[in-house]
Amino acid sequence: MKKILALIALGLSASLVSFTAAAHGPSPLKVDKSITIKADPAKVWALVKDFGNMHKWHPAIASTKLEKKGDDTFRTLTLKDGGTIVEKLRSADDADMKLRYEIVTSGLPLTDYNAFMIVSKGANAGEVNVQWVGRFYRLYKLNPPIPAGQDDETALNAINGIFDAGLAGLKKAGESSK
Amino acid sequence: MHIKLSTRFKPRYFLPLAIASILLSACSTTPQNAYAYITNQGENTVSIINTATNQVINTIKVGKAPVGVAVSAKLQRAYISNVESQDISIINTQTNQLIDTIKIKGSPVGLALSPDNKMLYVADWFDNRVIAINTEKPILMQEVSVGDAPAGLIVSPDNQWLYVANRDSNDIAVIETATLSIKKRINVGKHPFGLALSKSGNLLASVNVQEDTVSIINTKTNTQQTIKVGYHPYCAAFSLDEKTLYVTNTQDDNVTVLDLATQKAIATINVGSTPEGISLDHAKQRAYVANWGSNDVSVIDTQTNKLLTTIKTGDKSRAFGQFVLPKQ
Repeated sequence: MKKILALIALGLSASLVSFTAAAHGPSPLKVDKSITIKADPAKVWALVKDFGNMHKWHPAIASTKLEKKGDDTFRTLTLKDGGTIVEKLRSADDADMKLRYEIVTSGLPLTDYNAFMIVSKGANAGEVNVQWVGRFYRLYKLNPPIPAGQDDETALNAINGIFDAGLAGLKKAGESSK
Repeated sequence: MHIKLSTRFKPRYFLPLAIASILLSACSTTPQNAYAYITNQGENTVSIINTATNQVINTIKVGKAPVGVAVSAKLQRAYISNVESQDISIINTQTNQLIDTIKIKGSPVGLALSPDNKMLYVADWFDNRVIAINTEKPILMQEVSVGDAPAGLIVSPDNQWLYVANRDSNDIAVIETATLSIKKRINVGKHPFGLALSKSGNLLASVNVQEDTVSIINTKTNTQQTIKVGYHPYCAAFSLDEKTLYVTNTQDDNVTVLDLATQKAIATINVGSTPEGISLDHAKQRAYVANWGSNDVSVIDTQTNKLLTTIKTGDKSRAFGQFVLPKQ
């Protein structure tokens, strides 16, 4: 947990990056993680699709603010260390139990981030599987040498940390009797 | 031996046996398979799919972070660009084994062969140039500076023109192959990445990632049409009759089928996650789509525009370029 917050803080110390206009290097990065939760699929999907309440299950997030701009839905995640991430909802599909979103702005050490979360039946009765997949690029867009903190590894570490903590938190929330 | 055979086999077996042996010898001299060469960025391999069975028949280790593919039936070669190890892997398509590696100064992404098979063109993403390699003597290389971040490239059927999509300049450079000089620039939509050319060379499609469109350029009249497709499209392929264009939409996880006469989508086909490269097997009327996110290849029946099957490949399948080698 401490490690994740430190990583997020590291990202925030860099200047804010626009995620739409910037160019990027040729090799996109992927983080693909899954967790098994002993809970009803509907309960876990309700947590995942509740775009404005991510703080209810992610331990690094202090609060979530939901905003509508025309047809588009955005959330601003305020992290426990004070940083913010603005994300746009792409779709929340009840039939497939699949949520898609992308980062609009953040201080994370990466660019062009989009992700999905999908809830499916687990291998055993009473279990669900949650898969979380993110696609993004490192912060530095040009040829090596790559400045410290802007390389593939830094970007991957940040998302690995966020996903690991988030999936553990979702399991906890999903399996709690509340 | 002869005597023994003639006593064991009755005359009526001889005719079918003779036919069988003719068929066998025909098979051994003419390979009957078409293959799809799929680059797997995340595990530095190429998955080779036999399109007759839709099975992966071999997985070959190549350079680091492979992206682009170009294939040649005449040369019996598949060329693979490895952006991070900065080289080109060469596969013998008869044996489907790696036979050579060419070192490139720069970061190779897009690849294209000239229709006469004499030149391999390599887009160097970082140094904003295209390298022309003599396929007979790969040591002979020439280069030309193009726009920013050259990505897709393709050569006209008459070998005269090389088209290069410059992603960060939002244009296509038209290069005269004889002189390797830029003769024209065509402005297209925002962030052109994949390029496709119709069989006659009359229609050029540019896939504009950040505008969610394709530009269809008539190379004879220089007129241009822009058609909306899905979210963050990447690559495209024309049908053989030039009436239809297939476009991968990376962030919609689907393929748009465009009718070029009406400029309307006639079908949207759900495929794997983050589809990138697309190539058609015209003989079998199928489209092969490499899915970066789900590590597999979707096979579409282009007669019905329905998903036929999904083939597991390797981590982060990309297959950028013309990656289906037709029956030889």
